[in-house]
Formats: sequence, C-alpha cells, structure tokens
Amino acid sequence: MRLGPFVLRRLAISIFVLFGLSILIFLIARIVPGDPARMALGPRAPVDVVERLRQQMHLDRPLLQQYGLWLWEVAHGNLGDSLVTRRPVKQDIREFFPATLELVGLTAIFIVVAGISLGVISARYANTWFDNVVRLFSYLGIVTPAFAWAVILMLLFGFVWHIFPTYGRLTEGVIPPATITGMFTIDSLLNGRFDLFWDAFMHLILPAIALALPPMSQAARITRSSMADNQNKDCIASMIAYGVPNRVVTGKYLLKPSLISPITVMALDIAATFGYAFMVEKIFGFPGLARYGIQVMLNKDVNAIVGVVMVLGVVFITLNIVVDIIVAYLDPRIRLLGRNV
Amino acid sequence: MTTKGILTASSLENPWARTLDSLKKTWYKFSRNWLSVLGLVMVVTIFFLAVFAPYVAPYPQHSGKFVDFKSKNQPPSWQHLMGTDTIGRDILSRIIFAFRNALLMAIVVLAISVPFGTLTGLTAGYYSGTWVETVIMRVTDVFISLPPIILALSIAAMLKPTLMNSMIAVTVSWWPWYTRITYSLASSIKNEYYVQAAELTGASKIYILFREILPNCSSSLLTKMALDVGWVTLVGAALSFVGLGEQPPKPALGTMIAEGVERMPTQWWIALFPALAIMFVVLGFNLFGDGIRDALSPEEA
Repeated sequence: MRLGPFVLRRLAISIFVLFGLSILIFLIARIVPGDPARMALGPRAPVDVVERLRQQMHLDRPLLQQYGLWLWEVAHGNLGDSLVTRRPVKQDIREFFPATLELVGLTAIFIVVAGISLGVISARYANTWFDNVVRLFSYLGIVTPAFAWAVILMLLFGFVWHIFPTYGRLTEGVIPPATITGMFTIDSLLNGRFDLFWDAFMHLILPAIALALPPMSQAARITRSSMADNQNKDCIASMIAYGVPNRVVTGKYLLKPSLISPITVMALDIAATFGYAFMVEKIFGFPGLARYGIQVMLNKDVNAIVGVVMVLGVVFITLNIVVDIIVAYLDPRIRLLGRNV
Repeated sequence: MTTKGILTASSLENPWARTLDSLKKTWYKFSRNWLSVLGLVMVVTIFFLAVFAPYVAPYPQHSGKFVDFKSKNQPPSWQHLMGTDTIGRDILSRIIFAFRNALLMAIVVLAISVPFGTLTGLTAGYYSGTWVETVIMRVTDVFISLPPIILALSIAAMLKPTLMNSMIAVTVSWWPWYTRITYSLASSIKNEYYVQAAELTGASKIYILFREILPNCSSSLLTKMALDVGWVTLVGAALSFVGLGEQPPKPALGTMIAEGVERMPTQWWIALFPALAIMFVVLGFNLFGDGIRDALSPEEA
C-alpha cells in the first residue's frame, strides 16, 4: 500500500490551493470600493481616528506588503478583530461555528447513509415500483432547494404534526450543557445528560433533513446510475455465473467501484451545505454561524467575512483530502499508479 | 431514411437544409420524452411571464412601492390567488415580476461565464502538458476550492447589495466550472484522429480550437447551460434571501421567502409560494436540460 506518498502529494496541492484562496479573498476584500476603516467607524467619525485605524489595519501600506502582514497574522492564528462585534474574529467563530458544524455533521450522516443505501437498493431492484418511487422523489429532491424544503417541513411539522420542534437549538428555558466542544449533542453526552442530548438532537432533525434532502437525492441518483453502469460489466456477469453469492457481488465487487463518483459529488455537496445552512438556520432560528455571517455580511465587516471564508476553505479542503484518500482506497489505479482517472 | 428526410439530395448540397434536418431530428428525439416537453412548456411559461409581466400580472402596480393595509395578510382567495403579504401586496404579481430579475441574472451570468470559461478551458485542454495549462488550471482550482454558493455569498457580501453586484459575485464563482468541463472534454478530444488530421494538413490553431474541438464539446456545454439557468436562479435567490441582491421594495424570490419566514406558520402562504416558484424554475430547466442531453447524445442501443 503506497498511500503515504499519495497523501503527502495531495496535502502539498491543498496547501497551494489554500494559499491561492487567501490571495483571492484578500484581493477581493481590498479591491472593493470603500474604505474598511471608514465603514467600521461610521460616516461621522473624526478624520484622525479613521486615520489611526487605517494605520492599525495597515491600510496605508502598499498592497503586497498588506498581504504579507495579513498572511503573517493569519499564520499565527490571528484573523484580526471584527469591526462590528469589536472582538477577535477567532473568538466569534469559535462561539458560532460549533452549532453549524453540529448541524452540517448530522446532515452529512443523512446524506451519506440515506443517499448511498437508497441508490444501492434502487439499483438492486431496478425498474420495480421501489426504484420508480426513489427516482421520482430524488428528482423532486434535487430541484427543490434546501430553504424551500425548510419552509415546507416547517409548515408540516409546525402546523400539522407537532413531532419535532421547529425553532432554536434547545427548548426555551433549558440551560445548555457546560461548554466542552460547543456542540450541544456531544457536550451533553460528555456530561452524561441524556435528556439534554435528546432535546438538542430533536432540534437538529428538521434543519438537517431540509439541508440533506437535495444532496441526498443527488447521491442516490448518482449511486444508482453508477451501479447500473457497472452491473453490465463482464466481470460481474462472470462472477454471477461462477455462483458468487449476490450479497458478495453487490456489497463488495459492485459497490466499491460504483462509490467513487457519488463520494466525489457528496464532498462538494456537503461543503455547499455550509452555504445553504445560512438560510436554513435563519428559517429555523438556529443560532449558528449564519446569524453571525449574515450580520457581518450586511455590515461589510471585511475581517470577519475573510475569516469565515478562510475557515470554510480549510474545512472544504480537508474534506477533499479525506475524499481523495477514500477514493484512493476504493480505486487501486489511483493508489498504486498515482493516476487520476 | 426517406420518411424522416435526414439525407436528401438537397441536404447534401445546402448546408442550411442540413442544419434544419438535424434540428428536426433533435426535436424528434426531444419530443419523444413527455417529461422533456413538460420542461420546455415550463421554461416557455417562465420566459413568457417574465417578458410580459406588466400585462400578465393581476396587480402590476404591486411590484414596486405599494401599500394597502386594508388587504394585508390575506390567505389565498380568488382575488389574490397566492394571498397578500404583510403590507397588502399580491404575492402572485410579485412572483411574476421577480422572474424578470431572476432570468436577467441567469442570462447575464451565463453570457459572461460561458464564453470565458469555454475559452480558457479550450486553451488549457489543447495545450495540456505545457505551462499554459498549469497556469489556467491552477487558478481555476483556487476558484473551485469553495462551492459557488459560498464564494458568491462572500463576494456579494463585500460589495454593495445591488442586483448588479450579485450578478458579478455569481459570475466570478461560476466561470471556473465551465473551464473545468471544457478542459476535460478538450484534453481528450485533442487526441482524436480528426484533430490530428487537421493538424497534419496545417490547419491554424484557431481553426482547430473552434471548428474541430469546440463543436464536439457543444452538446455537454448546452446541456450544462440549460441546467444552470435554474441553478443560477437558486443561488440568486439564496443571495437575496440573506439581503444581498435586489433591494426592497422591488421583488426578489429570496427576499420574499425571508419576509414570509418571519410570519410562519400562521401566514404560511407568504413564504410557501415564492419557495414553490423557485422549485418551479429549477424543475423546469432541469427537465428541459435533461431533455437536451438525451436529444443531443449519440444514438444508444
């Protein structure tokens, strides 16, 4: 197994991409018309105060030097101060990010588990009623954006069936668990509070379903078509002819090569979920990164926007590396020859 | 052969007749699938509503600054098919007018990102293995290191919230995907014999890129474009949902949902119908795009 060098090379490429992303985001933040210092202090602040902030933010230096100084700070884990909340961006993100991470995490579980199993079952029973139902619903799932699902789910469960709570992270008045990771479900488990865990978990269900439905449907569709393509290969036919049990053929020889394209697509979709989470969190009144994100966006809080984007960039790139390793495990051509198929 | 008139004597001489024949054949394949035709009908409906909005909408004056507190928050009725919003505006009329900006945005975004992405992708694909490919594709990698929705949100966030700026933001995050798809097509097509033959006969680079390689990418690109009209609308709605993009009182699908969410679940129609409208647009263009893909793909057994 020559996975080591493969991972190292992949890591090097990611660092390059992250570096490029930082240049891109920095350039956009600086090219945009308007003086960040003036925007932070408001139109009525005296000129010398604005000038002092400009110096503090290094806005009086040449662009290249600004970037160098900014990168130096970022490399030391300092994303600057938020111009709105007046606190370090890092602290803000640490406070709001876990909630979103928790939500996206559950969403990702839904996407992977439900998407792949639906796809596999519907390929196994191709052209039966089950397959047709899955195909119809996956089409509807794909074309309905997460925030439309959020509205529909909220209507159904807030108005018709009162099974799941439709607002917030915890029932009103419940005291959140002591902060360890910031994720309520994990914190409550670590504190041994199963009642709290259940409450937090129930609050996650609806937003997670809303976020998961479109990518899950996409994953089911791709898994099904990829399975169907591989099903017609001679190697599978000969295996069936040799009398290899159906479970082994499907579960091992068919599933492994068929998972490559759905996994690649799912990684992109899970990353995009962070974007759609903005809307879904707002609809369900879920206090995650969205509330913070929208606030800083509408206030043109450049430091905070850049900080949030960089954090998401790191998350996405990590996700991609994980996917590449999984794909390399699934496809020996990549693992052994380092070839991109 | 004779019944469909695919290869008539006139079509061999007259290139226009040949184009017409191939169009007829494409339409024949397209119309075989009733879902594709349904998609086409939906797409035509959306365009019709957008273009003739002032004549079609039941209350055209409700698309701008308009307040009628007497008829606010009315549930759907025969007078207001989709109900009225918090200040008494007819939701159906506002949705019809919102289609205008949604389509305008999709057209502008695609009109810029498709040519740019195709050109860079073709160049990188044809010169694969050289520094040209490295530069173009590594820059593209950086842009697609974030999903379009996140990149568009963050760019729009740093600009002033206008329709124009949200178009810029979406365009910047959209072109790399065209670069990538054209690149992968072009880098495999350039090894085909007909491209090598053209090279041997001394055809110019421009000729090879645009007359040999590009036409063979066109069916994938056309399909993606048809699908993308729906997706751009969706991302545009996402931007206006968080308050970036077209500003009130002008109607935007995302803004309408955001307003309606505050009123859930009692006044459910304010958020539900704009959400269904987005679904309609994405569904229509998806069915249409899938139909184009099936119609343009080579014969299958």
